[in-house]
Amino acid sequence: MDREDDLDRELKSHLDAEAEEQGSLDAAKRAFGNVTRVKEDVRATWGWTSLERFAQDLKYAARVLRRSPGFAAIALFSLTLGIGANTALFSLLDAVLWKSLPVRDPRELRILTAEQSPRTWAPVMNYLGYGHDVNGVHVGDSFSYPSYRMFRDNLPQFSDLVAFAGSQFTLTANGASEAASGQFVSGNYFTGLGAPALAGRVMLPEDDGPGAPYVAVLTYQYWEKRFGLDPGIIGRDVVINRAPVRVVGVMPPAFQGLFPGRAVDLFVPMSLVPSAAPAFYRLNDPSYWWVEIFGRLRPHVSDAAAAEAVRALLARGIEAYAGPPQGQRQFPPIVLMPGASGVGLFRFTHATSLAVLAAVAGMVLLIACANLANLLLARSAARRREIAVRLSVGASRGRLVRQLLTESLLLAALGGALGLLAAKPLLRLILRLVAGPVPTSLDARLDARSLAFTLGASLLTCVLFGILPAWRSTQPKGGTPRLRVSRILVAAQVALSLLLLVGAGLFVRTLTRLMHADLGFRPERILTFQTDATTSGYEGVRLAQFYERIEEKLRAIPGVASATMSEQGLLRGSVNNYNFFMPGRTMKPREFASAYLLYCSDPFLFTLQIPLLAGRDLAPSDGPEAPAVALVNEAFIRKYMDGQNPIGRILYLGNSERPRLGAPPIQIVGIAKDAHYSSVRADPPPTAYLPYAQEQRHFGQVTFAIRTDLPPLTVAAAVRRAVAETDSTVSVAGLETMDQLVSDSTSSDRLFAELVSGFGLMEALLAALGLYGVMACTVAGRTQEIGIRLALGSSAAGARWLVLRESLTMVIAGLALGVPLALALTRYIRTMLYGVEPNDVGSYAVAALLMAAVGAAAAWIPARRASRVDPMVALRYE
Amino acid sequence: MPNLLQGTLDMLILRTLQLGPAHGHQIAKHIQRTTEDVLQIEHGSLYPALHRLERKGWLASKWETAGKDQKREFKYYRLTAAGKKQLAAEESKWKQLAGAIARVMWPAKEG
Repeated sequence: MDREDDLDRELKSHLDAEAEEQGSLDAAKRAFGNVTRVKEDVRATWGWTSLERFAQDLKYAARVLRRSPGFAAIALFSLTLGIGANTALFSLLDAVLWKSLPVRDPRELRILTAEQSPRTWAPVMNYLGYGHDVNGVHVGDSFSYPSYRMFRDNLPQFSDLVAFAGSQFTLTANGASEAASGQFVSGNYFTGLGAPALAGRVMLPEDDGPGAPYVAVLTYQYWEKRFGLDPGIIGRDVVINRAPVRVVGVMPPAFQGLFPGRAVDLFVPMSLVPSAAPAFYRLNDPSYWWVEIFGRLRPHVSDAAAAEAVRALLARGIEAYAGPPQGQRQFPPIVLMPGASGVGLFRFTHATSLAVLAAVAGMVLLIACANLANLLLARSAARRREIAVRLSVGASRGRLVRQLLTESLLLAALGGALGLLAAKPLLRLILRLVAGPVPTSLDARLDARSLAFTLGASLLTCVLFGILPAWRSTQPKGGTPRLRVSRILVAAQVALSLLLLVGAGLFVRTLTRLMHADLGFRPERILTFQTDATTSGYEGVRLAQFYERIEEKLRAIPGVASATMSEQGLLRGSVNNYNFFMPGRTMKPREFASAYLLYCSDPFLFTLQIPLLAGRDLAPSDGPEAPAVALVNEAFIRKYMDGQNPIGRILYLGNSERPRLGAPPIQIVGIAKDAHYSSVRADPPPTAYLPYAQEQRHFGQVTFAIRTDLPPLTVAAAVRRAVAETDSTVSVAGLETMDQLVSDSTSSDRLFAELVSGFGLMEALLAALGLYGVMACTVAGRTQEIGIRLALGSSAAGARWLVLRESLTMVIAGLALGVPLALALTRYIRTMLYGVEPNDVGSYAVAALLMAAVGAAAAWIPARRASRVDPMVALRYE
Repeated sequence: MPNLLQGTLDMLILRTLQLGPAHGHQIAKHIQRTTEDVLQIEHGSLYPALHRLERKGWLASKWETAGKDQKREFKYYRLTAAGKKQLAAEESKWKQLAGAIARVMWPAKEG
């Protein structure tokens, strides 16, 4: 039997017995005293009643919420939004910043990087890697493979040193060839990291030995995507480019290499480099730097000691092939970066967007809290009578506070649960937002950690929005509720909403500017794709001929007006930036002249419709034997020529102390109009267009662009066929229209604009609801006063104005708070804006007007109610 | 029952139940009658005490019908073995305390 019923019956039987004795139930009750109090005291002896009382409170709270569905809906909506956004963002930040790699003792891992600056001495033929700024020092994360071998065999400070380098493959299995993103890894990669396989086995050091059969280890994601989780693939052979490779294992889902954010499909040993890698991956050439190195530092070895050991070894290596440092230079110092979370490239490139998202999510949650606190305050004013009655019949204040908090807790819990549901789509949205259309392998999902975060966030919000109203509403000397706190909360909501609306305005204007940006070339009717024939064994003259053959075949496709090939593709994010010097041109002190090079075939300007302003265009006659020529753009002239005519001038690649090996003199023969290079957002950089036929270096991946007379996608199939007919092992990647690239290039801006506008509008609505709530309360509380005013001859308009004025005061206070706040904070999003300043007057004006309009609309209903107060009724009121 | 020493009510309840099972009303009436209305049991203390003693395992309870024509149900409490032991312990403690107080109050009688 339920204890409560039991107690009820027991006390009732007592009262009955007493009544029998006293003659009446009333007398019995008088003799007995306060039944409720006795019950409370008895319950207190039950020990774990707090839990039971909680259940009771919960039941009560559920009943109360069911009785006010409007309130519950608004509350849950704002909480869902706030908690959902924060959970999604937490999951992302966790994946990017905090989650450790799924390997043994990740804290021991270090990323080896070497300083790269004009004062360091490390001549290279080719450098492929990422640069970061670590405490103001620019470091690069690549080394040559001979350096890696030297480190691995001579550094007792590290228990393991592993090397890896990414590359695109053509993987043929089950009769189909597809592009796959692979990673060459040293044989000790998995054993050194301590990463076990999910199925099959990992690669072992002996798999990387000379003569060993080639093996591959798949990531779970690729196993799923390409092989449908078929366990039969383990032990089978696939073809990578042209080499047969045996799949020996699959990694668990969490392991995707050491680069959070960079999708990997499979891992293959370094021994496969000669047969499957681009030409500039060289295992035995110390002047080709392309591998990244992770080391596992032994316990009790300091980072400084280990870095010094690496530096000394690297210096010896560099001296052996390039001689001692020249001029004021020195061998590059080594910086060890913590590797527990992998290479945080994502962290560097998306720091601002992540911070802005975190700020927006935090604001959404804060506004949700302020809004709820306000709603609860308003409600507690309405429940004043109930609470007063309960206090006077002997309920303790603590008990009532606990009960009101239980209501908040219930709301927070429901909001948390809904927020968790909302977090999934929001996370997908945010991933697209920060990563753009690039496939991302971030291990960002809702896991136990996200769950814990949601729980914490819900509890925190509960405390934030629940305690104040609970405490105030149970103040025994209730009196008329002072609405000052509510007014402050409304003003704060208005301020935060304004901030979001200003942000929204700035992002929307950015997007508009980007969409109408003059690119300098015509993106319409252009189809582009990328391909890499070096992975199929093409080299030197054969490679160049191969690409020429493809270009000819493309041009022969019906509907194709023009086709061109270039090393980098426009708007694809990658660039080739190289130092140059011009004899006769005085360098400014500390100047580091560099141009963005675009090696291309001669119809490049014609195909992309970049106007030639002066001189001549590149021509088929600019072949390997002809004198080297280049076109430069206007930005180049502005930056390096002081407005002088560059035509006829000579430039050399490399710099004066260190010319590039065998660099010929290059004559500038023409001037091209400025055109965007790497993205829509980045202004056209100083660019030089060079005939690719005159470049001695191997090209790895190249980009083709085709101008069509028809909608470009209609020739897509013909394009694929043209490449496959030339060589079926060469794959076509990134086949897209230029329009698509333009829109991809602005997609994260678009999503940002949408997300922040969406949140901004919703929060403005919530603020309006808060305002409405407070004003409705005020009008209800002042009915009598308004009635007297009306009776004394005040007009209805006057009564309306009374309410409107008070609302406007709140809105204006909020705006007065919000504008300086926005001015202070929007400075930090400057880098995300385009063509608009952070203090853009238009955005501020629109946001403030919108906020004021929404506020006035919210105040209108209570104002009208005030103007319709019937003086007679009002005076009899209460 | 003002100024009753802490724990005394527990002892009185246990002692009352030594006579046989009883319900709350009976216990209160019994103490009141026996002390000739000197000790008025407040229900505010009685029921919490009963529930506390039951929780400690010194009392057990059972619903039984009683009264005229067996129509009414009462919750009867009875002493458990542990309750008997507790009563003995409290009784001896109380005796010690009472003796000590007596020696202070009326020293002449000694000897």
